Amino acid sequence: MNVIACNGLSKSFKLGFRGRRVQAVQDLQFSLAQGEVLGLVGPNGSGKSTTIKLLLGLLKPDSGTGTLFGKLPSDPTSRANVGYLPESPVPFEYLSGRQYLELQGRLARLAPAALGAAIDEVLALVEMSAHQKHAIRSYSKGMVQRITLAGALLGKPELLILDEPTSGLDPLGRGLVRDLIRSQRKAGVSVLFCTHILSDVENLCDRVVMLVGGKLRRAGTVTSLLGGDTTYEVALEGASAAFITPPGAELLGHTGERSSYAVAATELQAFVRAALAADLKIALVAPRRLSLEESLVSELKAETSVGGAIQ
Amino acid sequence: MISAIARAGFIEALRNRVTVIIVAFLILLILMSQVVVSVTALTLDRAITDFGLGLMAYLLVALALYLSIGTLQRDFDRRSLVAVLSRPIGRHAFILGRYLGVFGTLTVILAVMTAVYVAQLLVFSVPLTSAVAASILGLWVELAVLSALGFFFSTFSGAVTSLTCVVALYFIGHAPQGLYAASSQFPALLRTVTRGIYWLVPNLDRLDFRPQAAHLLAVPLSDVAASVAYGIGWTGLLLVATIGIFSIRDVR
Repeated sequence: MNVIACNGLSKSFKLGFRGRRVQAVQDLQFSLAQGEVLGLVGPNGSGKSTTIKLLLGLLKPDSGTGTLFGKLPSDPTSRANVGYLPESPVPFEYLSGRQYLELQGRLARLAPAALGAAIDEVLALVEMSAHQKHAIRSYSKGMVQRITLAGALLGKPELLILDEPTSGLDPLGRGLVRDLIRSQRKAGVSVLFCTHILSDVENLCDRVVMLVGGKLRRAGTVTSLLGGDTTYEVALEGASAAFITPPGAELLGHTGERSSYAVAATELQAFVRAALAADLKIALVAPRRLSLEESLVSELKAETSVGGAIQ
Repeated sequence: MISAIARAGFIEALRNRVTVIIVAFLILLILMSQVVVSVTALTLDRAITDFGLGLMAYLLVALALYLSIGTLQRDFDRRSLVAVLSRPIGRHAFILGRYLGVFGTLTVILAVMTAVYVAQLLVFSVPLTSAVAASILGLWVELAVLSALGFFFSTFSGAVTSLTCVVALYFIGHAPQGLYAASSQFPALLRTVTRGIYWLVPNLDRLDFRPQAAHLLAVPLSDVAASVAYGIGWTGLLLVATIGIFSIRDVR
C-alpha cells in the first residue's frame, strides 16, 4: 500500500468579487511508497502547497481523491502518523516553544508519561533546547521554523510532509534540515518534500514530481528527469573573439582568456576541429548534465512558448 | 484533544496584552466606585450594586467580543490553525477547544472580578442578595452566548463584519420587547421581517437581572433556571452551526 496516493485530484478556487475560478490543481496523479523521499517541485502558484493541503484534508477537492495510508482525508485517523511542517508557519505566538510542543504532542495522542522525554528529544534534534521556555513571539523566523519542525517530528511519524522546510533558515539550519531528512529516511520514514531549493531535491530525493500550472508535468527519478549526458562543456583558451560559435554550441561565459561552451554531443567533434583550426587551446572537455533547476527552467520556457503560440 | 486546545487558548488569552489591560482597568474601576458613590444622588446600596455589576457586564462583554472574534480571525490570518488541523482531530474538536479556551478565560476573569466586587460590597456593608448572584450567573451565561455568536460569525466573515453583527445582535437582544412593540406600527412586510428578527435573535434581556439586584428585588429561582437553560440552549445551537460551517470551509 502506498503511503500517499493521488488519483485525479483537482481543485479550483474562486477569486475576486466576480468569483472567477482559478484551477489550482488539475487531475493530479502520483504516489509515495513506504520509505521513499519524494520531491514536489514547481514554480510559485504551481499547486504544491494546495496538493499538500488537499492530502491533509485542509481543502476539499473538486474531484478525484487523495489518500494517506489508504484513508481519505475526511477520516482524521488518516493523519495519525503524519508530521507536517507548513510553509511559513506561525504557531500560537503567546505559547512558549515547549508549551507549543506539549499541545502538538497531545494532539498526536502521545501518552502523557512519554511526552516530556519525546519533547526533549525533538528539541535537541532541532537545537532549540535552550530556547524552549521563551514565548514563540520572541523567536526569529528561523527559530519558529525549527520549533514547528520539532512539532512535526514529535511522536515519530511514519510520514513527514515538509513544505519549504529550509525557508528562513541560515546555512547551518539548512544543513541541519538536510541531515534530519537523511536520518528520517534511514529510519524508514517516508518524506514528501516541497521546496524551491532544487539542489536540495537533487541531493535528497529518490523521485521528483514536477508541477507546472497545477498539472503534473514530469515525474520520475532525479536521474531520469535530468536525462543522460547529451551535452558537453568545452573550455577554450586563446583569442576567443576570433572564434565564431558554431551551430549546436552555446557560449556559457568568459573568464580572462578562457571561454566555456555547452556543445551538443552530436556536434562535439566538429566543434573541437573548428577550435583547433582556429589555433585555440582546448583546456577542458567534460560531460555536462542539466541541474534540476535548469530542467525546470527549460520546462517553464517551453510552457511559455507553447502558451504564446496558442495565443 | 479538546482540553489541550482549550488550555493553549487559555494561556494565550491570559498572556494577551489586551486581556491584561481590560482586567486591570476593570479592577481599578470597581475599586474607584466609592468615588462614583460619593457624587450620586442614589442610595449607597443601589449605587454600589448597580455600578459594579454594570462595569463588569460592559467590560466583560467587550472582552468576550474581542477574544471570540479575534481568536478565529488570528488563526485564519496567521494560519496557526493549519498545524493543529493537520493532526488527527476533527474540525469540531478545534472549534470546541478554541471556544472553551476563550470561555474559560472569561470565566476565570469573571470569578476574580466577582471576588473583588463581593469584597467591596462587604466593605460598604451592602447586602449580598440572591439577585446579585443571579446577575453574575446571568452575565456568565450571556458571555457564553456572545462568545458563541463571535465564533459563529468569524467562521465565515471578517473581523469588522463579525463585530458589527454581534454588536447589533447584542443591542437588539437587550431590547427585544421594544423591537416587537415598535414593529406593530411598521408596514406589513417590514413588520414580518422585524418579528422574524425578534424570534431569530437571542433574547439577552432574559439573562439580565441587574435591575432586580439594584432595587433589592427577589428573583424566583425558576426564572433564573429557565433563563440559564435558554442561554445554554442558544450557546449549543450556535456552536453546532459554527462547527457545521467550519467543517465545510477550506483552510488555505
